[in-house]
Amino acid sequence: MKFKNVKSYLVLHIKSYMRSRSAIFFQILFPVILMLLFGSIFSGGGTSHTTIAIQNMSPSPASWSFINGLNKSGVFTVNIISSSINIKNYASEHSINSALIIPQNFTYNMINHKIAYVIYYDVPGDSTSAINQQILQNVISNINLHYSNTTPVMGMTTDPILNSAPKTIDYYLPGLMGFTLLNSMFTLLYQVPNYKKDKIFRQFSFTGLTKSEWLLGTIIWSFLITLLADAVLIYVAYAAFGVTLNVSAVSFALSLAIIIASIIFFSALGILAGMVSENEETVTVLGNLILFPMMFLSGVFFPVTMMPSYLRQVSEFLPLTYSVNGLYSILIFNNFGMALYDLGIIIIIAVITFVVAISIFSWKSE
Amino acid sequence: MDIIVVKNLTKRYGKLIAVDNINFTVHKGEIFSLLGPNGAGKTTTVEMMEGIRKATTGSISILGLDPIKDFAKLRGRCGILPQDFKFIDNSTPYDALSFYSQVLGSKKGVDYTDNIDDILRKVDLMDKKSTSFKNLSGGQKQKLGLALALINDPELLFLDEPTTGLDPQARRSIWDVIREIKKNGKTIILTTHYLDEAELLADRVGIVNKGKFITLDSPNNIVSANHIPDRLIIKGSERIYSSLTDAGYNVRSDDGMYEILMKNPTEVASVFDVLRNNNVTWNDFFMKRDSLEDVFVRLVGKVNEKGDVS
Ligand SMILES: Nc1ncnc2c1ncn2[C@@H]1O[C@H](COP(=O)(O)OP(=O)(O)OP(=O)(O)O)[C@@H](O)[C@H]1O
Ligand SMILES: [Mg+2]
Repeated sequence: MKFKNVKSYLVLHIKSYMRSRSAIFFQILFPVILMLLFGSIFSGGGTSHTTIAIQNMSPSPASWSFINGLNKSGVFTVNIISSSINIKNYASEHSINSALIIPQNFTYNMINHKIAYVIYYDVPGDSTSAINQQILQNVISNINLHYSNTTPVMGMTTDPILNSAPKTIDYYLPGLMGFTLLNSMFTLLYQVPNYKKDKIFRQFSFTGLTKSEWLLGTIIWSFLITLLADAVLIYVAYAAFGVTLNVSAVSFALSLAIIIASIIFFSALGILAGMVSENEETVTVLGNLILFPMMFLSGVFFPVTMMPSYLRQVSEFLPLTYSVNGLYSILIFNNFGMALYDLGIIIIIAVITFVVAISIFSWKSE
Repeated sequence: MDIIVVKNLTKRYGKLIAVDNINFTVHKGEIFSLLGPNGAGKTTTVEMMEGIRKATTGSISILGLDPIKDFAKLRGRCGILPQDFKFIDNSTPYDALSFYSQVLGSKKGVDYTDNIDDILRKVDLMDKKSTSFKNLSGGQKQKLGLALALINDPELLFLDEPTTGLDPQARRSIWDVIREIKKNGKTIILTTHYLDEAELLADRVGIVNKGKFITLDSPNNIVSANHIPDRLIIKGSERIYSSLTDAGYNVRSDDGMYEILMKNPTEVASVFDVLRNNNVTWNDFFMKRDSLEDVFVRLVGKVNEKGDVS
């Protein structure tokens, strides 16, 4: 292994890369476009607010204090509507996903120590509906405690986990950084079958370049381009959306370690997938087969915690989940212990995949 | 001194015997040409010598080394232009050459970067120095392949059909390059379809068909050994045929052309004497002498008819 040869290959590769505009687009600009897209979808910037339409059929101090409780939860923007309209129609006409009716018997029941029900409507598919119900339930429990004159036996004081509350866009930054890690796989998934077909590996071997020199050059390249893509991503997240990251020497070193280990894994995966691809169609099919589950189930676009449990189990088998989780723990939650756990898993998978790939991949066409 | 020694070399692809137990040696400083039709086994033979294909049986020695085991050692000493040469689509001739210069040189602690412009000029690619490989014409790609094979001034060159796809002028300039390399004492293995190329450049030619040598010798010797005497061909009336056969000549008639074998050049005069004496008129005549091409076509044709070499 001669580092000079690695450098010569790197220079050759970078020069030809610079002439390929589509590659630059996909590796650097595409993640930024996704970020801008997410950013503008959640342009509120703050924590998500759900508008809730409330129809109060039983005006009384009791019902108003309940509504007040909802308002103070900070989750709902309360929208009181007149009792003469059909609340379901109103909600759908105004694209409101949550609606609540305080029925006429509400105050009566409460005074008479009967259970006073409220009726909650929501759209079952809405991702926030579970959270909304939870909060409603909380407000109701508080009111119950208050009226039953019992002293709570258990309480919770909140100490902010984060220095400042994360904005929605904060959650997407580690996800999109995870997305840029996939570049290393795609570089090789396309390069390996192409270079085999055009016998460019054979051409390399004529110069005396070795397989490991080529591979190291390729991995260094993937690392550089990923760092560049991530730097651009972080800058845009910061400049356009004021994303706040947890920056320290440790968080920087740990993030780098996760990025490097992930790139080694994805490069090895790219070699393996590239080896079994005989033509361009198989490359595309294989690429999508790997890309889509990882993109949608590893927390790149949706936080894993938002997924139903059976999908969460699937995501545990996707290596990218650990890369995204790790970055998430470091950059947002400052949780280095969790990040080390993720890093450990990535390193193990990377070493195994890398050893397999390098031992079965050959430059010779025969 | 023998730079290459090939003994009982055989290559099988499943049932197909692509190279069938061949033996030959190549001397230092010569141009050794493998000549044969498509699928004869030229590329297979050359690539086994280059160390990129494994022989089924037999042995090869290149500069005293084993082409596969000593693959790395041979890199600095051999230049290779493969038949289907391609390079990275988005790289330029200059990038490719400077990559080769650095990596090939790193072994000996030298850098051949200074040679790049010289080589580009030699293969006439200077004006395409910064053009992406994918935008080069077929012939220009071929020239880049040759330039890459030459960049480290190797003592042994493998050129697999270096002039295929080039225009006549480019072919001639590549021939000049090859002659100059030979002049510097280098050894060249040259495969080609072009008989004129082999005849013009090669010291020895091996005519290959179906994995075997039909013949292996200098172009001159091959022509004279398989030589058909010079022929006089006369165009004109049918009476040429009758009057000459009557005079005892062996005449072949072919669509208004009459072909007479000449034992020696002076016989030409007596043929025309016969025609004049018989008042036979003729329109045109010319002499035909065998070239390597005729020998090749005849040899390979004969082999193909019989299905095997006798
Ligand atoms: N990798 C391979 N697998 C199977 N058969 C092969 C392979 N390579 C070559 N052959 C067969 O071996 C025979 C010799 O091929 P080769 O390429 O050596 O011929 P060639 O003389 O170089 O022909 P050309 O002049 O067309 O380049 C052909 O019949 C070819 O089909
Ligand atoms: Mg060939």
